[in-house]
Amino acid sequence: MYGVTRLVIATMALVGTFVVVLLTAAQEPARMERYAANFHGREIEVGAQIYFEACAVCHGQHGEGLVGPALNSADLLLPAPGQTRPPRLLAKNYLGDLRSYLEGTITYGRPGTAMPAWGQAAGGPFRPDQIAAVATFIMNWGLDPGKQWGGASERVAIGGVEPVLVTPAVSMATPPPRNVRSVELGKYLFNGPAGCAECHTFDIATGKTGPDLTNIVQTKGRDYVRTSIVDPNGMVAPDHAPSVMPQTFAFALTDIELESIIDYLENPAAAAQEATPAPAAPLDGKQVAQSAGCLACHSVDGSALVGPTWQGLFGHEVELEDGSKVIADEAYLRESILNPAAKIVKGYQNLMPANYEQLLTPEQITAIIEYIKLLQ
Amino acid sequence: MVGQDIRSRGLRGYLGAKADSVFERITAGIPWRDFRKMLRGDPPDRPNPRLKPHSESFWLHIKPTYYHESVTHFTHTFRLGLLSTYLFVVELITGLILMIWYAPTPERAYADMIRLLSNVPFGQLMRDIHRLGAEAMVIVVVLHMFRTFLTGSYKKPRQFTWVTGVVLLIATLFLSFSGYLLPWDQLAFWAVTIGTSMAEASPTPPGAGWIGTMLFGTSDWVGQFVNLLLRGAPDIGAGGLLRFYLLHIFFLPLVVIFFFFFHYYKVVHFGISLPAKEEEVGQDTANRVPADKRRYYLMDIAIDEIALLSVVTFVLVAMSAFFYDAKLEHIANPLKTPLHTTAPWYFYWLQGLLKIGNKVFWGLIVPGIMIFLTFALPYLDYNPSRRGKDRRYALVAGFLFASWIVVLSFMGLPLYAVQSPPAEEVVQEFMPEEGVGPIREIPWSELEIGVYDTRTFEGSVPYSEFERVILDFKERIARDPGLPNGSGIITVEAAGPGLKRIKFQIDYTDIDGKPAQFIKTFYLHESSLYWEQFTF
Repeated sequence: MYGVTRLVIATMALVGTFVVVLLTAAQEPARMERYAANFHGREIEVGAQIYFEACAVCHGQHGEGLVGPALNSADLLLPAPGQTRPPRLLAKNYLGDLRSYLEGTITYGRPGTAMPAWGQAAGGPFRPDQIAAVATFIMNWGLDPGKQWGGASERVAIGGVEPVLVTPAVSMATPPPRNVRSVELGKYLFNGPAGCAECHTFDIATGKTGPDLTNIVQTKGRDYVRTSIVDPNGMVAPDHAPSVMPQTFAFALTDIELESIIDYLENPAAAAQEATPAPAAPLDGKQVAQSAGCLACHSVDGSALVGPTWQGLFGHEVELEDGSKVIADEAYLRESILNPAAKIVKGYQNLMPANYEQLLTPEQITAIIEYIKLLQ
Repeated sequence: MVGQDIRSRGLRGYLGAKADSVFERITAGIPWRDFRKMLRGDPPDRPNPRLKPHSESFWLHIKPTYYHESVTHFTHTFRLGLLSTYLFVVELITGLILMIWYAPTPERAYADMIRLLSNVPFGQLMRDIHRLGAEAMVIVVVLHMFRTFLTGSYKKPRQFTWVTGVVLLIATLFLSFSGYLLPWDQLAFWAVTIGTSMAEASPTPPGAGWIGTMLFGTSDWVGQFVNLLLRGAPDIGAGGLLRFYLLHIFFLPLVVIFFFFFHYYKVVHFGISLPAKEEEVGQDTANRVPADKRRYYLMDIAIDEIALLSVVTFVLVAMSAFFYDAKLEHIANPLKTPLHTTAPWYFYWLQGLLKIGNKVFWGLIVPGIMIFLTFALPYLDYNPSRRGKDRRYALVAGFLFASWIVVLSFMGLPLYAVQSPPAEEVVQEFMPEEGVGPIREIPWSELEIGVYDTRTFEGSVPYSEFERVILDFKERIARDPGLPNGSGIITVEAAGPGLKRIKFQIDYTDIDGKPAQFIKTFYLHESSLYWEQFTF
């Protein structure tokens, strides 16, 4: 009925399976080692991608350190003589190993420095595995610390024009006091420790990561700027990705520092006591008039409110209380702002505050006058 | 007692009788003398002791005692039912082993995969067998259904056996699909995102909107609800992973086991249908087997099965060990959609359907009708004859249905996926985000540092592997109609110890006639071993 053929086939197949398993077993240790090395290599690739996109701005293309400390350096990557931990960890009295030092620093940032928290655990954009990959990439430099690998990664421009490498110029002899609100403090923080200038500029052409901030306060208002610093994902500018800006400024900056930065953004020219003054941003007269409260009493559409309208005012004749007539030129407008009681327009009372000389800068007053000139 | 026995039979007689009884307990009633005959292929004693195990043993009592000779020929059934059951058992065993090293949370899942592959002996083999077995099981189950259709075995009285079989088919597909997500890599995450977003298209039946308005604050609620049920959140995350894990290891296997016994009971109860030509039209004589046509399960058929399964095991293990590698891509990144995402191949037909048009009609109503027709087939096909020449319409319809699935699957191929901008596609071809591609196949040391501009690059004969790839790159850009005046620059520079940066830059003239540029940067480490791992 049935022969031994099937039994022989079955036996051969089972023996074959056993041989395959044995062959696999013999290769397993080598295979596992290879797989581990393989994954290590890919982790470095992932880490490199992140490092050159996010970290190289401050730590340098070669890890040589710019705003941030050098990472490609023996004192971080190699153990101190006779020690298990590198000198930099010993100096900080850090008890963990290098990997946990790196991962911890990347995840939680360094409060009080420009290093933001990058880990999702602390509100940053990266997952733990991505941070581990960056740490693996940094530790890979330890094979040959300090060596510069390859050139800078400039783009080869269309038409053969070499792009200009933009380096932020940070020069400040003595930092301004931290506990006094000042435009100088804002400028110092913006360009230095807070690290804003790493991504933001007052000049569209440089093409940095963050939105251009020219006239940001004038166009969007202080509240918008303050919210955007404290909660960057709240309002994301068009063409910019969320979660790129560190979300730790709410903890890293005091109120005084925060307001100082906004002061600086509002009027970079005011900090121009240095050898290299920043270019004065032209003020928007309408914004100034609005924030100074002018528009509460003066309309811009011809209707009469508490004060006379600004529409069609400049260059025209104005009849005053005593029946005389004057031409509303620049001198008249300036006088009326600084000393409202000097000339009262017929049909109105003198209700205008007389302290605008103290409230407004000469530039702001000029801006308001320029604005009135436009309302024809 | 024992002493008395020894005294009456002698020690030798006593031990012999004892050994016999132990042997019979193990073989569920077959004495060793007959067992030897059985292995040799000799006929049984009378009364036949080989029938006893079918009533004594649990596993044998669900097997028939004998089969009709005609249904035991390999080409009648191809043993596909047995094979799918066996593959399910293989999946259970390998799956159980894999579970030991796996925790279904987004934080751990991928790291657990890496640990399994780099630190567990036989970890990769187990994973490869599990994956290969799953894919084989889908194929075998589909073939099993197709064979049943061709022999007309779904006809009276086996209609309901077919219905339980369709349940098993669907459960198999979903078992395979639910396992897809568990490694938590890019492949898994996006295939399942696509799959579950199909469920999101479920329409709300007219008149049922008020339920959603009352409970969820929206009248178009069914799709969202199904989606939420599957994913546990609007997007796949920890909740979705846990749900798919539980579906995969618990619920769906339970469904399969339950319906397997259901299915198999009916198979045994009605018997395997005879070849159509051997019985009158409309008759079913599978259970009336003349004595001279009987082939007993023990040991004849059993050896058949053992031989077949041994060979299948060998093929499965050898394929997994030497030829097949279950892919593992980069860790799932919900923020980065890969360029070409696809469903698993057994859902290509669904993906093809979705490309035709309206998501609700083609993605839900049409597949719904197709599944309904598959279920209802034995009740719709009123033709009593199982002979091919009487079933022309049914067979033509069946082949048309099969071709329809094949054509749809073809349309669902990644080849016909939405294409990215041409420059991005070119770079993807040469250095894909996942997998190998021509550049990674070049040994790391042969990727020489330098700037290679296709406008000036000539190379020198004999070309090195890298030079040949650069020339391919040049030729590929030149013939792309979407890249007029196109030229490319590949820059290779050192980026760290054992690390190279490979930058692709493609310059071309865009639709407005302005110069445009595409740049993509990759990093390649010497021990990532792409070229070694992916060449056999």
